[in-house]
Amino acid sequence: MTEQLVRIENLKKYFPVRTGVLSRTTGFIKAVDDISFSVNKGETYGLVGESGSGKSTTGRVILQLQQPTSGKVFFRDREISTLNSRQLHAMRKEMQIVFQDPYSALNPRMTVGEAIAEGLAAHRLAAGRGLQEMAISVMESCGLSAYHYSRYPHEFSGGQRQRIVIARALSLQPSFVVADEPVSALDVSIQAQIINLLKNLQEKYHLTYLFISHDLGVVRHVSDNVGVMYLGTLVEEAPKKEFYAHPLHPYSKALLSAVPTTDPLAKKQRIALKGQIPNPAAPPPGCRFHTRCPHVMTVCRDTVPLLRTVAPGHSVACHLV
Amino acid sequence: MRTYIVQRLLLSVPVIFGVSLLVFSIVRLLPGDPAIAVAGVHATPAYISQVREELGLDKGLHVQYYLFAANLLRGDLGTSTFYKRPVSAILLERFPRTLELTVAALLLAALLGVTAGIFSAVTRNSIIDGAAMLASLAGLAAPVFWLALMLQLFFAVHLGIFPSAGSGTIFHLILPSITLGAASAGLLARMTRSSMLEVLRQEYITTARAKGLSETIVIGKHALKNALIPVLTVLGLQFGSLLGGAVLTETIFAWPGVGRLLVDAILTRDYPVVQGTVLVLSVSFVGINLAVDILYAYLDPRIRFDVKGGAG
Repeated sequence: MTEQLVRIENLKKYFPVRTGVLSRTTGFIKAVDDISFSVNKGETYGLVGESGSGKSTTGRVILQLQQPTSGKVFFRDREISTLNSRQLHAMRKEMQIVFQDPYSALNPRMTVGEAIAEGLAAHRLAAGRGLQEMAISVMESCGLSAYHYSRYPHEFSGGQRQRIVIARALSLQPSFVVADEPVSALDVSIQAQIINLLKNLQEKYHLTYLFISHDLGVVRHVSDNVGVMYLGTLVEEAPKKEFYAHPLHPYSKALLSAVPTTDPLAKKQRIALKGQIPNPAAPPPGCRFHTRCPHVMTVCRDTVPLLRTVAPGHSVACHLV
Repeated sequence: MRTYIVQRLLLSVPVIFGVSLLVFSIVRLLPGDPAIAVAGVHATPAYISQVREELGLDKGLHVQYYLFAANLLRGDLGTSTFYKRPVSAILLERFPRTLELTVAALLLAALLGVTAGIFSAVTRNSIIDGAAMLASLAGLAAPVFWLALMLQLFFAVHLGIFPSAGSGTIFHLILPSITLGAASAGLLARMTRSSMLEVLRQEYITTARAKGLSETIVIGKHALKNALIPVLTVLGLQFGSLLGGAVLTETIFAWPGVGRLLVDAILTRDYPVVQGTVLVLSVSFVGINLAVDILYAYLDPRIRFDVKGGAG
């Protein structure tokens, strides 16, 4: 049952920092620094973390929209970071992305139909009249109507736009979708609709998701496994139930303590983190979280904790555990 | 869409009225007496006042303006005091030549500027980008009279491949249009570059790549179409300023357009010609802007629908 669809090994993505008139490289922003995980077929992997933790970069590198600095990305046990452009073109059909901001994600000069049909034509999935029929059938499965086909994006609300973005991604019949904060830009009432749409589509088309979010409440609702990123590294990874019941890393605990509950009587201890996420160009030595950790020890300041398996499927990088 | 065009047309009426008033007043505020210019410096005072009467300059300013405006509505721009011919006939001869030069300069600027801007944006921070931006800055900064003289010196005097002045063949058009279009090319290159960079950051560009579209389609179809909207506005405004800017270029290259006509008319205090020329240039400017606005609405579906009163 648990067959791996996507696997990344020791993935790194560094962005050079250039300064001065001669734009010499004076350092690197380590957006993603040596992370490994795998996503099982038909499941959802929830990748969580603060802004700037490297979640989105991870998603883009997996889709080969950005070249990794080092490390490997496997799709169906085939390494895709070394594919030539023709092989990559074929692979693109299999992996699509849904962005956070449905306003920037749609070309204002193209009608909904054009945007969807363009991908279908690029991969020769349909032609001529079939193109429109196929586009409309995808649109309908995403809760849009046939008459939306020749409308422009600015005529739609945020939630509808996100449906268009999802329809566009699914039109190519991908098996893997990176959903990069797909509901963060939407009203709470619309968020639920879109999340349910994503779940229904997953069931219907046996999709595999990498669900990137900073909202642990949403991630709990959709994910099978959860990975927590902090400053470009994976600090904890566990099956959903295990993660929400027994979070082990102090950072995970702090994030979870910030999730609002519907039970007014539930006694909660909020763990407020001090300060901002440090500059990824100069991450702290030792454990990257030690500058904000409430349980910081001497060892944390100079020794990097390794990701260790503590229970089946549950691993954590912390000196406390 | 039709209401929009009608609205814009009606709005241009007061603009043109204002222009006619301004032109009329400025000409009369200039020092120098046209009656003396026509009669000659050594003419007798009696002859000068006779000429003044003939030209209608003895009447009050409000009467003069009324006559000017009334004639204007009939399409009569008056008679040149210098050429002794109807101003409209002179303009009909000269204006197409200026238009020819302006269109050539604008085409050159658009072709060079937009191409350079695209390559700059796509190869951002590379040597190509640096060179193109340096060249565009040079084009923007070079004074027209200097550029004209350098081009004449190099291409006409040293290499002898293009005529240094005059008109008639397509070769005569090349140096003046480079001179006139250089600054616009520089401006357009910079506009296109920044507009392209703005669009290339959008997520629909990343999505287009993720869809598996070729880079040519991503840049040419998705990015360029959106990036060219602000560039088009500048292009329209440039067209207007090039019409006016042609004065200097036409004078240097002895190009028989309205620019030179205007300079000569000012020097000879030929009021009707000055009025007519400035008016025609202004009306063209208003017309071009109107055309650009309409084109803009056509190119950007958001504007089109807002005007219709549809969902915005």
